[in-house]
Amino acid sequence: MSQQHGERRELVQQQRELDGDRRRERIVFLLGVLSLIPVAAIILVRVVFFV
Amino acid sequence: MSPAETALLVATVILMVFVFLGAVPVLATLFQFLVVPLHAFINHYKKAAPYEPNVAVIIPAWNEAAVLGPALDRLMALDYPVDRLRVIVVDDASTDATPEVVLAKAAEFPGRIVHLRREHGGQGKSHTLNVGIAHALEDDWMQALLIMDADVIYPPTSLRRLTRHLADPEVGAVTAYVAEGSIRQNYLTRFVALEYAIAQLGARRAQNVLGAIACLAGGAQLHSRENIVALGGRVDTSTFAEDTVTTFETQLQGRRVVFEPYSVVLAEEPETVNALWRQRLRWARGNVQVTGRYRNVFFRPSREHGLGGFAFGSFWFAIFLQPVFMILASTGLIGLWFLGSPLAAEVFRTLWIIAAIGYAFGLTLSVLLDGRVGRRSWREVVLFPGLVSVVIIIVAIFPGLMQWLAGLAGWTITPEISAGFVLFAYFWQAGCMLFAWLAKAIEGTGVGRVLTPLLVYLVGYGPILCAVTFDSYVKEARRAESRWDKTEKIGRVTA
Repeated sequence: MSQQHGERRELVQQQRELDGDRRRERIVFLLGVLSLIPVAAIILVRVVFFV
Repeated sequence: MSPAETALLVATVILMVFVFLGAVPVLATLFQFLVVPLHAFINHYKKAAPYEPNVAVIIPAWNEAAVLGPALDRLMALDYPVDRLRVIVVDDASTDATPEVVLAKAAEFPGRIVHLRREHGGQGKSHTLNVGIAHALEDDWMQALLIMDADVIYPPTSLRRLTRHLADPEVGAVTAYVAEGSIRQNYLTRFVALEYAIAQLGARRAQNVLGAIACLAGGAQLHSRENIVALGGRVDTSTFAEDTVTTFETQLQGRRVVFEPYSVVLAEEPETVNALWRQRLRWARGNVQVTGRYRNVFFRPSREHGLGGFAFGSFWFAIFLQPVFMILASTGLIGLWFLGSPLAAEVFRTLWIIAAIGYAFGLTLSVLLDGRVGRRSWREVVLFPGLVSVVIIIVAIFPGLMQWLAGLAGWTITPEISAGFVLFAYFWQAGCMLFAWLAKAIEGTGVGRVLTPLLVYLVGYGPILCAVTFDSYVKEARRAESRWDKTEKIGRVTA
């Protein structure tokens, strides 16, 4: 009985870990958007420089 | 149009094509990184579930006494059911204390570590692996097989973060993020750390999105039993790239390969350019062999797998043919200059601005994906393309900058100096590989110990890998001797 309880608890913990990683992965989209900032800076500098 | 004018036009068009081919690697890399953020929504987590199969771990070992003890200790401390994990160390006729180390650990953890000894070794990693795989397949206990290197350190949750993907029966294999983990850092290990963040946390996420993985990491690949059996119960022994062949075969047979970015394992990486060159030459020669073997797979879309997709083929050949593209770009630019074409300068500037955008986006995203690398390797992030290329990029973005700076200093830039700079910049596209080779060639000398790190910062890390790829063409064309030239590991992995 206690072994089953332990396994159940372990399963819940692993599901939480998986849900956590899935949520964490959503941040990657935001990081992608943030990474466009230096790109925008290069383009802006180039355009301003030519104007 | 006179014959001379026609010849000039044809030459200009050909040279322009050369120059545009030089942009292929940059454009392919930029596209690959633009796909990475989509991994937030297109990933395998929806089909993953808690799953802890019986895992047999295979460690091929040849003179690994210095690193095996800690690696085995960390495996035994994994947050994974004790009765579902067995480790098989295949000792390839080691002449150091490897057998003693493994036997001592086997005694410390009875029934959990097996020592398999090959008395006549030296055939290479893949043959050694096959001995372990055959042993693991002897009974029905094993449900999943983890192939790792002797020096790789597995943190507690790393294995179960891999196994959860095998809950989906469509998945044949899963690979982890192998991060650089040397305790004693130097400029080269910091470059490698950055490269791994780019090539794994970035590129492999993009490959997950596009449904085709180029290579399972040799130090961290988990296979379902069904996958290993379907592959014939063995890994390829005919190439240097058994990992890549396994990855391709798995996908060609219709099973999925997944990269798991949150399963992070640590490995010790080369500290010298020569050691890095030897390691990467083995990998690059393997890629030449794999490209030849699967030449009928690329650019042939299939419903069974993603390896034939245009995007995957573009990424593969952008790296595989990068030295060729660089040489063509230099040839094209220098040729246009000698023809007196005004196009050369404009195309060159556009090329470098695209390169700057690619570097800025890819490097920023990579260090955001692994903040530890960003903190440790900030110098290498700035100088990843090399100081010379950074200067060329700045001049490309600000065309009048040199004249302005010279004016401030009261100098005059004569047309001859200007032409010299332009020709050098055109030459540098390909010439940087020569300087990368020079960094390797002088490393062992007294002056090299000081100059090599400076040269690497000057040349950049990418050109070293390009020069190695070029070397791999030569070695494969000459059918140079192939042997298992293992990277020295002395047990300095952190965590």
